[in-house]
Amino acid sequence: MISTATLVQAIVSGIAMGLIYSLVGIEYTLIWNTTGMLNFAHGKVITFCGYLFGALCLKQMGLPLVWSLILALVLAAILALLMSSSIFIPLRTKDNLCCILATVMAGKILYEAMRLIWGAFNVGIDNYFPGTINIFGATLPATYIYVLAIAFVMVVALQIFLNKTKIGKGMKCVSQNKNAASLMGINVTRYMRIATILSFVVCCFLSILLIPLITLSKEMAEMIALKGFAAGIVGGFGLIPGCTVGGVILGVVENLACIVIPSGYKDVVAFVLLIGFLLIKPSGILGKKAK
Amino acid sequence: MLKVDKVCTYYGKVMALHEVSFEIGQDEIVSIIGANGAGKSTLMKSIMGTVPIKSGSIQFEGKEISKQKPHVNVKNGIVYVPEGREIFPNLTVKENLEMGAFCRNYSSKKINELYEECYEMFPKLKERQKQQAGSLSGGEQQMLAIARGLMSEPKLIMFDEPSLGLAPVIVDEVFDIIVKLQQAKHIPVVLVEQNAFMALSISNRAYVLENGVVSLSGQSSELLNMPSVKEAYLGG
Repeated sequence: MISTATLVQAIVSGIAMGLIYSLVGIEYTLIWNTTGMLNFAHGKVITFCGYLFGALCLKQMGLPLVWSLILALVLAAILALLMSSSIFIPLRTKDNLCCILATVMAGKILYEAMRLIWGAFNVGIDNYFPGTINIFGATLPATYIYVLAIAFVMVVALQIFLNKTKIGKGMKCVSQNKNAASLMGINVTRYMRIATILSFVVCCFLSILLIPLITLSKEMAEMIALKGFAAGIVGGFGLIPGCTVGGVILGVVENLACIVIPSGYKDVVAFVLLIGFLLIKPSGILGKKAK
Repeated sequence: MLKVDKVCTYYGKVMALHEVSFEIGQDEIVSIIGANGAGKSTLMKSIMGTVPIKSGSIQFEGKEISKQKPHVNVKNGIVYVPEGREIFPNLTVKENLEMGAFCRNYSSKKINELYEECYEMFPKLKERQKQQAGSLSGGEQQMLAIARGLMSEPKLIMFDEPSLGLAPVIVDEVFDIIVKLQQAKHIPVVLVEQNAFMALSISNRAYVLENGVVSLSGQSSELLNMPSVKEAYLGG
């Protein structure tokens, strides 16, 4: 018999993880929609931002949380400018293979840079979301609630930003038709830069949410980057609301499945879903049928 | 207003335009006719800055614009309504219009006035303002593309094949609208067309492009009666 406490725990932590997958989905979709390139380095970007925040700002410089966050965001934006000017913008019209290799290699460079600067070992950081919380008799680490709340606010804020502000609308136009967008007076390459910066800012927030859940290590975002990709496929590739829906579904289903199956197989669930969707409904839950 | 002087444009090593010169003054309709592949759209793209020119000069209101990016040209008042409409299919009709005014920082009052102006000229768009633009018929999409072009209050507007793929009744309607908007706004209109008869009958002057070279130019009424033009473009 499964107790309500177990269920509540599974669902709450599932939604928290799910929203993280959603953010990962949104983060790479932003770049995909505007430049037409998949950022295969996105997992490394998340990790790198985590190191900037945790290892550099918090530990080495000893800054308080808020200042660390601000400094890490600024550095992430600079990284975004570098990567968009050297990879996403110049290579987007080139061969697909060229784009894939460039982003994979960029990831490799980031990885080795982290090893060089911060060493090969994990970095221990005190949990900045401490405490426990009681819901319906289930005791949960408060971390999940913090993560859930922050990720939820971010997902909503991103939706509003992309649909209601002028910059968001401009990005939408660039993703739908670059030629027509430039004929509307939109500086297309500038919007690609903005999208990349936004994407890396999301990465930065993601890493900050991830550090208390998993320790700060160079492999911390590997699985999450892949599952965020799966979230996009499940919800509808290239659709920001699709990523949100896909991510939450993935997170909850995976946690619920763990009640029945051994938790060692947890990661399998996401990828079975991914393959299942690719076979049966490749356009995803919110996607329209391809013409 | 706009002066194109000896412009050469290449796609790789292939020459698309060779020393093309043309000119348009305030308050006139100039049509550019020619067969498929003659370089009509390339000329428009060269003016907009979408395709770089190799040599020659393009002046707008006395200023050189041949090196300028398309989005800057739009801001300066040159609007190009491209071939094949190129509307944003997943935005609503109203959002498409809104994007037309993207480069201007209009107040919401001003933008609403512009919407009303558009809806007056194109009543169909008002009925469909909340519909996705991709679900409109070809004729309606063309109307939307024209209306969207007018949203930024251009100083010069260029239409590329506005009659392409439309039913004959709709073609008449589109040309009617072009004449009407020219009379209402008194802005110069460049009209690129394969439908030479229609283009010549509504324009003041015309240029004939042939393999990237201007082979003929003059008053539209004269060109309409020229035997060589009749034979090549008006079906004998």
